[in-house]
Amino acid sequence: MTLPLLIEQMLNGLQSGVMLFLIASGLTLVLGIMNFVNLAHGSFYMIGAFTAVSLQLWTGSFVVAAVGACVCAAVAGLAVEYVCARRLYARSHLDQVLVTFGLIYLFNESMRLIFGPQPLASPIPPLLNGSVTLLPGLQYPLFRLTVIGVGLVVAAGMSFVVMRTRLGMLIRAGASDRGMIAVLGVNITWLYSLVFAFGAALAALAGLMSGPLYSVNVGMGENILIMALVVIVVGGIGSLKGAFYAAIVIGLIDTLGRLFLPSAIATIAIYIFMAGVLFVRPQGLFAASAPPQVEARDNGNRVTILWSLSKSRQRVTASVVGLCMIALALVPTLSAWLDDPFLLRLFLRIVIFALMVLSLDLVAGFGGLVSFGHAAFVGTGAYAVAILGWHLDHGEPLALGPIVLAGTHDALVAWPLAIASAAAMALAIGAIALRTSGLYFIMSTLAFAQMLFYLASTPSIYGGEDGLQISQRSTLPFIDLGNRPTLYYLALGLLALCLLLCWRLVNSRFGMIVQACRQNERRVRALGVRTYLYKLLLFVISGVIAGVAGVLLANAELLVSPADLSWTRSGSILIMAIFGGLGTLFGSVVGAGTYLMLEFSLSEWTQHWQIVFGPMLIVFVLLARRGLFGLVLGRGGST
Amino acid sequence: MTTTILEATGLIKRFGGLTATDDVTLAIRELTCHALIGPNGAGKTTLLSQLSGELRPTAGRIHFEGRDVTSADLGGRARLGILRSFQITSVCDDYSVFDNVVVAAQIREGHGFRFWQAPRGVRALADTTRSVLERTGLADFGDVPAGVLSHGQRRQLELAIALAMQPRVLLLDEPMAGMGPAEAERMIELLGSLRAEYTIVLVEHDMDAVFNLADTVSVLVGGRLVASGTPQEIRSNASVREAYLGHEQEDVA
Ligand SMILES: Nc1ncnc2c1ncn2[C@@H]1O[C@H](COP(=O)(O)OP(=O)(O)OP(=O)(O)O)[C@@H](O)[C@H]1O
Ligand SMILES: [Mg+2]
Repeated sequence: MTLPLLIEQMLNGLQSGVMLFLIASGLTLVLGIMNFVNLAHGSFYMIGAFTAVSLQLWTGSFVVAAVGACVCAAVAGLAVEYVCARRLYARSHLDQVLVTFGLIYLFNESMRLIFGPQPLASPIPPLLNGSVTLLPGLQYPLFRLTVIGVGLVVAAGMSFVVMRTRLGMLIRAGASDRGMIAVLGVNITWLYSLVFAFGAALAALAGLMSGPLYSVNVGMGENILIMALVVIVVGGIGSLKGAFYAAIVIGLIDTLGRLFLPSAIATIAIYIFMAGVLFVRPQGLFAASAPPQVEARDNGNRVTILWSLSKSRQRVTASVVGLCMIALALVPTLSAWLDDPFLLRLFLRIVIFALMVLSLDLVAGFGGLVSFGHAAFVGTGAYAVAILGWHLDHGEPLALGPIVLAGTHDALVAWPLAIASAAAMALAIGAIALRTSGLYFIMSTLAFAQMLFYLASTPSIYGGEDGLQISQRSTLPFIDLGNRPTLYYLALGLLALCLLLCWRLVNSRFGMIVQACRQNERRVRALGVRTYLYKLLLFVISGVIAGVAGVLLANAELLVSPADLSWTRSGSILIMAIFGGLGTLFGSVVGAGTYLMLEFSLSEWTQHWQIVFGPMLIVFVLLARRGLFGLVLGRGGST
Repeated sequence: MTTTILEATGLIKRFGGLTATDDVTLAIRELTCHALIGPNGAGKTTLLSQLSGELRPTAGRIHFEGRDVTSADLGGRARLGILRSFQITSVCDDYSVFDNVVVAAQIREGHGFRFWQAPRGVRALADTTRSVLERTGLADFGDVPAGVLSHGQRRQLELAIALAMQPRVLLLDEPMAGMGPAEAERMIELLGSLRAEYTIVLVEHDMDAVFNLADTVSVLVGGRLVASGTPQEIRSNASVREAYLGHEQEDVA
């Protein structure tokens, strides 16, 4: 390693750091001031990049393209604020997550419709082409230097505005205490719109500068968004200063890590760093003194607990559940009768996803712990099955430290191991994530899941991005899982069993305490309960169910891939949970069924189904708050 | 009757430059009602929070039944039997009144790592819960979600939750705050009935209630303990009149 190379890499790190800051700054302001989680913030980055490329190709001027891109994104930001965000400031973070998730679908699919699926190449503007000699032996591209310069100037400018002007004072006041700006008698609507549009323009600025460096493609927003989320979690929500330092540090870690660390670790270095920070400082490095008051608000979507229903309602509920289960049990017969194997395939998927949703409902609906990384646990279980099978097929023993396994397809060995891995993963992630709460919890679960996603995507014997094929279904004594209806009945049986166990669980002593924690953790702690342990155990139990789902998924698809761990998967599971109604248990079946059938019928109709589905999701969250199964349950415990 | 159950010695709590508790030494005797009074901002809540373990004192020690509990936190002291009610009511809004209390009753029984049996169905827990609800005047509201209770009922529920824990010491911060006269009357009656069975530390502004209920009254002014004695002694204590009662009359005038 020569010194010039090191300096060059550090400059690269700085450059990616300032880009991260441009995105994270808008995100953290919106979070700090409006208490609004905008997952679609990455879309402004994407919009900026696409607009800039097309304007540049059209007009030939980079300046016009740059200005156009920022204006365009700012307008998009204003529109999002006016149409959606505004209605959600007072709602739970979960609602915000879902609506902005729907926006991502909408924006991504629109871009795909307009620009096609191919990535676009963006030329470096001629004026900035070439490189400068910084030191003897160190040539550095002028464009990257410009990016660093622009980033630092913007950061300095923002710091000036925030520290020195009246507007900045309002912003600071808002970020540390939202009630305060209302007291100051400021027109908040106006301030909110301004901050939103400004944040969008900054993201677009980063996007347009990223064009010549990376590629311009649909989905570029999500990768950077998650890094930006890591930045603000590390820096402390609402803190611009925190966002700046965290962005630079994370840019450096990410860039230098790729140079010095083994590739598998390099891709997840920033997440390990985040875990370390959260472990020591659960509120991030530069958090505004008071933690945001978010815990109470995350209860908005819950419906009711089954026990608290009136007798007649209980009877209705039980009948609906019973009829649904009988109907599900008849699917293989129906499928055979109609000679439509696809029907069975779809319903097998529904049953497996219902298990995932049930697992999430347990933590989110009953524990109030909105996990945005639940696919990670499912994926862990699925990968475990696949990996054990791979080792048997290839005759290479799997060495886990001192333990050496030959690999197996035997369900009696593989499944418990897979479920235990999922539970262990839930324990590890939960142990750190549960030190935080509210928004930090949502984001850290998301980031940890993303870490596993990158780990699985790293090229390895396990297939990297392509995933891992499984040569055969697991073997059980007396039962042939190679037969799809048998697998279906087994899955349905496991689902019924898990539903029953969960129903007992949430009403048990343990469940009562966990639910009390969701409603008023301070109260429960004041009674002498070590709530952390309860929440952690709930998380692990949920991991077990997710593991069961993962095992079944691996057997149903005979392929595992990073997509099974992706955050879009986690998001879908969350959406299904909301569709069905959080805190209803059986809503998981309803939610998974509705979602997957909807997805299926929409995608039959158009390949751009997400452009329809996104807005549907938004409307659903804005209007129906209790989920579909919530309608069956009727008016629940709370008014 | 006169064993000391809870004792603070040389308690000091500073918030930056402000000394909210200024060298307070206090002994709470078992099965008595000990009232803390004083003007607004005198440091009553701060003192109570140190007794309950919510705030760590800057200096001084707290002993419970002879044991040093200064470093035990809120939960740790709750496990020992020191329970507080909050000045701002804090209950589980989605739970019914019954469930709020039954959870407390089960917590009192030990850890909750039991995953099958529903506490509502356990005879002993249900009985405890019912008798506590009876006692606190909430017997008719068992099925009502706590979130829809009136303010006064929520305070009663708060007390019921504490009682279900069968506490050794009850720390009550303004249990009558924000109640209508009728509700307050009922609460005073209830507290009166608890006096024989529980050790109570009561922070209260309502002087009638205090002089009615308390066996001992301590007066805090500016974080300092200026007097301590029976209600009669406090009533006739000249320095208290001057420092506190007189002060209050000025406020009113
Ligand atoms: N967390 C804190 N940080 C800084 N100062 C505090 C804090 N808590 C209380 N104080 C200050 O300590 C003093 C005592 O407050 P405390 O709430 O204990 O008074 P109080 O006697 O309970 O008043 P009230 O009758 O209004 O309830 C007040 O001046 C208050 O401003
Ligand atoms: Mg007070």
